[in-house]
Amino acid sequence: MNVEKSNQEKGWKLKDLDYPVPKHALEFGYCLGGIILVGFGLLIITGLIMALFFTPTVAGARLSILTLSENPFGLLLRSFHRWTAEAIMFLIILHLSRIIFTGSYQGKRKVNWFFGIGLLVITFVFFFSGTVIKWDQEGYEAYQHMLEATEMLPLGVYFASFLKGTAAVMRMFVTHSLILPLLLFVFLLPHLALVKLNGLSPLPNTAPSNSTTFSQHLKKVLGFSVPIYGLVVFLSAQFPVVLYPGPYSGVEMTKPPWIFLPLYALEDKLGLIALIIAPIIIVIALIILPYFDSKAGENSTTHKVVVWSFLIIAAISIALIIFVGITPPVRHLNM
Amino acid sequence: MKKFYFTVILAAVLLFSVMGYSHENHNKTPRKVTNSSIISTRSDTININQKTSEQIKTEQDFETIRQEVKSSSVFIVFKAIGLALAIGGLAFVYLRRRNKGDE
Repeated sequence: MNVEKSNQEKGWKLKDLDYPVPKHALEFGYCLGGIILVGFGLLIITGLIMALFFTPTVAGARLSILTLSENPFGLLLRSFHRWTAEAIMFLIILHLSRIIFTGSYQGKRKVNWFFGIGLLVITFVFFFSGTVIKWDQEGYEAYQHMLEATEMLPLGVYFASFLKGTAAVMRMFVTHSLILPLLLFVFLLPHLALVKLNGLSPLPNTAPSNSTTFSQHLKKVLGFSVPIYGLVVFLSAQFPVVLYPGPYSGVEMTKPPWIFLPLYALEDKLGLIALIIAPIIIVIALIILPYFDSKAGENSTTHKVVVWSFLIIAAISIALIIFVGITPPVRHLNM
Repeated sequence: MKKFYFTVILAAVLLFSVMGYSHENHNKTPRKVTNSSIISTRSDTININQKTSEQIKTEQDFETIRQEVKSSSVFIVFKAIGLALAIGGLAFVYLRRRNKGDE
C-alpha cells in the first residue's frame, strides 16, 4: 500500500506546472511562442481532417478541394487552416522581432536561437508546400518557381527531376503532412526544453525576478490565443479562401502569398537567382547574429546596430509587400 | 472490477458481431479493380455518376461555389462565434489586466 502511494506521488501532476517563472512571462511579447504553438495544434487538427478528403494526385488534388469546398464546413475548415497559417507567419515575425529587440539570442541562449532558425525555415517550407498541393494556378506557379530555382543549384537538376512528373503533388503532400511535421517536432522539442533549461530570457535592464508561475503563463497564453484565433475564425467565415482555376502552363497570372512578396519583388529585379540568394543571406545573417552581437544588454552599440538594421529591413519588406501588392503580376518563368 | 471487464468484453463482442454481420454478403460477384471501380465498389451506376459529376465540377467555377457556400447559415454562425471570441477574449484580457492594476 505504501509502495503504491509513493509511486503515485512520483507521477506527474498538474501542480508540477506551478514552478516559478519571471513576472514578464505574462507579457504578450513573452507569450508569443506559446500562442504560435496553439496555432500549430489547430493546424495539425484541421490538416488531419482535410487530409481525409484530399486526393494527392495531379488530376485529383484541385478537384478534391473543390468537392470539399461545396460543403460549408469543408470550405470553412480550409479557410481556417489557411488563415491560421497566415496568422502564424505574422506571429512568428512578431516573435522574432521580440527576440531581436531584447537580445534573447545572446549567451547561453545561442543554441536555442539556432533551433529557432530551424523552426523558422521549416514554417516557411510548410507554408510554401501548402500553397503547392492545392495544385491550382497559384500552386502550379509556385511549384514551377521551385523547380526552376532548384535547377540553378549545384546538382539541383537531379533533385528537380525527382520533383517533376505525375508524383509531384504526392511528394509535396508527403513533405507537407509527414516530413515537415516530423522535422517540426525534432526542432521544437529541444527548443522548448532549452527554454525550460535556460529559463525565460530576462527583460533588458531589469533584475531577474521569479514572481509568477508557469501555469499562470499557460493561462495567459490561452487567454491571448482565444481572441487571436477567434479573429481567425471570423476572417475565415468573412473572407473564405479562394481556389484558382486549374493550372495552365505558359501563363503567370498569380502572385505569391504576402509573406513571399518581398522575394517576388527581388525576383523582378534580379531574376530567379534571387529566390536562392536572398533566403541563404537571411539564414546566414541570423546564424552569425549571436556572434556579432554577443554582449549582453540592449545598450551596447552592436545591439543598437542590429535593432536598427532589423527595423530598416522590416520597413523595406513592408514597402515591397505594398508595392508588389498593388502592381500587376510579372512573368518570371521559362515555362 | 470484474463487472467492468465483463462489460468491456461484452461490448466488444456485440460491436464486432454487428460489424461481422454487416459484412456478410453472399450475393457479391468478383469484379476487377480498376481506376474507376476503386472510387466506389457499390455499383457501376455510382461510378458512372461520379465520373459525370467530376466532369461537371472541373468545368464549374470555384467562385460560384464559394459565393453560394459563403451565404449559408453556417458561415453567419461562425462569423458571430469568431467575433464573440475575439471581442470577448480581448475584453477578458483587458479587464483582468485592469483589475490586477487596481490591486
